[in-house]
Amino acid sequence: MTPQLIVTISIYIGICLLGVSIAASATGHHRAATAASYLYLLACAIFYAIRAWLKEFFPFTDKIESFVILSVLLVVCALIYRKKISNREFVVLHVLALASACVVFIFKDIIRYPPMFLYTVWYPLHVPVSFAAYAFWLVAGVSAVFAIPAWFRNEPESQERSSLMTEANRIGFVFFTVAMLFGGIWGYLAWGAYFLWDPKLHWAVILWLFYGNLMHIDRLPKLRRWKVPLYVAGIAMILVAFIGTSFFSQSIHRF
Amino acid sequence: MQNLIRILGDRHAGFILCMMVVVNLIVGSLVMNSYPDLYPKFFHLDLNYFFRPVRIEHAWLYALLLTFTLFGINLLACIAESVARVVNNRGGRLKEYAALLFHVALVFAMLSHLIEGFYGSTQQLPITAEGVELPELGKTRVESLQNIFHPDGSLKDTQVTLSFDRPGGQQVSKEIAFNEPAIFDKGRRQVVMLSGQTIPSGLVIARNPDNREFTLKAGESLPLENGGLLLRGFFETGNGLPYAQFLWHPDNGSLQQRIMVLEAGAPHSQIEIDGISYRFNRITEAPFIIAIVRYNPAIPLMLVSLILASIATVMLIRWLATRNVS
Repeated sequence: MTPQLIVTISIYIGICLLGVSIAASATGHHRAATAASYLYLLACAIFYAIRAWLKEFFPFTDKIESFVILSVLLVVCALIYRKKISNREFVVLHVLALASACVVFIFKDIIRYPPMFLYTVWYPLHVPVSFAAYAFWLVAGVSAVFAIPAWFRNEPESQERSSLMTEANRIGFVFFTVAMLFGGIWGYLAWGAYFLWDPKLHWAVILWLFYGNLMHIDRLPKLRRWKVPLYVAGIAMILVAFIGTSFFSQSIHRF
Repeated sequence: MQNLIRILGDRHAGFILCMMVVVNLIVGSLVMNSYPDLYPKFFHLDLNYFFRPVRIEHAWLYALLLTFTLFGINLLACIAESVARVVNNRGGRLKEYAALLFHVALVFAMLSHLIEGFYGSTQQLPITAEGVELPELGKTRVESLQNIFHPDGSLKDTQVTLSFDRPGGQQVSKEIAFNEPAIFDKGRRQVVMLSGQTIPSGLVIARNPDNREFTLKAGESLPLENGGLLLRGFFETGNGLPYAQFLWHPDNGSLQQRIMVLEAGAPHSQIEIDGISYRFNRITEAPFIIAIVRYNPAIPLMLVSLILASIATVMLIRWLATRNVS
C-alpha cells in the first residue's frame, strides 16, 4: 500500500464518516453523529500527516489541502458549538464541510513539493488560521440564515442566536487578524510588500473591515435590525474571498 | 470641543462609513478584474498610478480615498472619546483597551498605506554579474548563485550572494533567497528575488593545432590574426540541439557566418576560420536574478501598527478566554 493510496483512502473514509454524521444527526442519533464527526477528524489527521511526510513540509499548500482544512475546521466549529446551535444548524455545517471535502472528487490529487515561495513558516501559519476565521464566520452566517424567518416576521431574534453570531464573529476576527499579520509578514519577505492590488488581498481587507465593523452592530440601536441580513451577506463574501478569487480572478493566489 | 468630537465620532456614521469603504473596495475589485490591461497582475500599492492620468475607470479609488478619509476622521474622534473614557475610568476593562489599541493600529495602518502609496517606489529589473546601479543602494552585482532542487527535480530554493557598492564607498555583501530579501535602512529598502538562474554568457573554443583556448563573450568580437570573430548568440534547432552562431569578419573580406554545435565531439562542433579549425570546448555561464527593488518609507509606521494590533489581539484572546471561563 503506497502512502498516496493511504491518503486517498483516509479522505474517502472521512467523507463517508461525514455522510454518516449528517444522516445520524438528521435522524436524531446525536451521539453517533458526534462520534462520526470525531472519527472524520481522525481520518483527516492521517490524511494530513502522510501528506506532510511526503511533502517534507506543512501540508497546506495546494487546493485539495485548502478545501479539506476548511472542511475540518467547519466540523471542529460545529462540535465546539454543538450545545449552542440547533440540530439543523449542526447538519448544515456538516453539509458545508462535506461539500468542501468533496473537492477531492473534482480535482486530481497530485502530491507535489510546494513551490519555493511557500517555503517559509509564515505561509503555513497564515493559511489554516485564515480558514479558521472563515469557519467561525460561516457558523455566524449559518446561524443568521436560521434567524431569517424571525427577521422577516419582524420578531426580535432569539437572544441566544444573536449572541452566538457575535461570539463566532469575535473569534473569527481574532483568527483573521492573526492571519493577516502572518500573511503581511510573508508578503513583505516574499514580494516586498504586505499589500498588493491583488484580488485575494483586496478581499482579505474587505472581510476584515466588514466583520470588524459588524462587531459594533450590537451597540448601534438604529442599525441593529440589519444584523441578520449582514451576517447572511457575509457568507457570500466569504465564498467570493475564498472560491471567487482563487478560481475566477487574475490573482497571484489563484490555485 | 467635546461636542465636536461626539459629532465627528458618531458610531452610527462610523459604521455606515466603514460599510461604504467595504462597498467601494468590492466595486474596485470588480473593476480591476474587468480591466486586466489597466491593472497589472503584480501590482504594488502605487497610488500615484491612479492619478497619472486621472481616468473614469479609477473612480472607485477616488471614492475610496474620500470614504477612507471620512472614516479615518470618525475613527480618530472615536479614539479620542475612548481615551477620555479610559482615563476617566482608570480601571478600564481589558476589552476596552483591546478595542482602543485595535482602532489606533487601524489608523496607523491606514496612514502607512497612504504614505507607501504616494511615496513608495517599486522597480522590477534583472541584476547580473556585471552589476546594475540601484538608487541609494549603489552598484549591485550577483556574486554567486546556487539552485537547490527537490528529489523530483523541482526548484526548492535559490541562494544568491549580492554585493553592493554603497554610495558612501562601503561595500556590503548580502545572502538572499526566496522569502529572504536583502533589507536596508531598517526595512525601508529591499531587494527581493523573484527568480534566479545562470545563463550562457560566452564560449571557450580551442584551436585544433595547438589546443590554445579562446574565450568569447556573447555580443563581443574576439580579435584573431586576420580578422575578428563575433559570437552572435546561442540558439536551438527545432529538435532541441543547441548551437552558437558566429560572424567572422576578415580584415579584407566580407562577413561570413559560422555555426557550431554545442556538444563536444559531435558533428559540426568545429568551425573553420581562415583555414584553421576551432572546436567547441565549454560554455561559460553568468548568474543573474530578476529582482524587485522596493522603497517603502512607511515601514516604521506599519511596524507600530503591527505591534499594536498584536498586543490588541493577545488582549482580545485573554478577554475571550476569561469571559468563556466565567
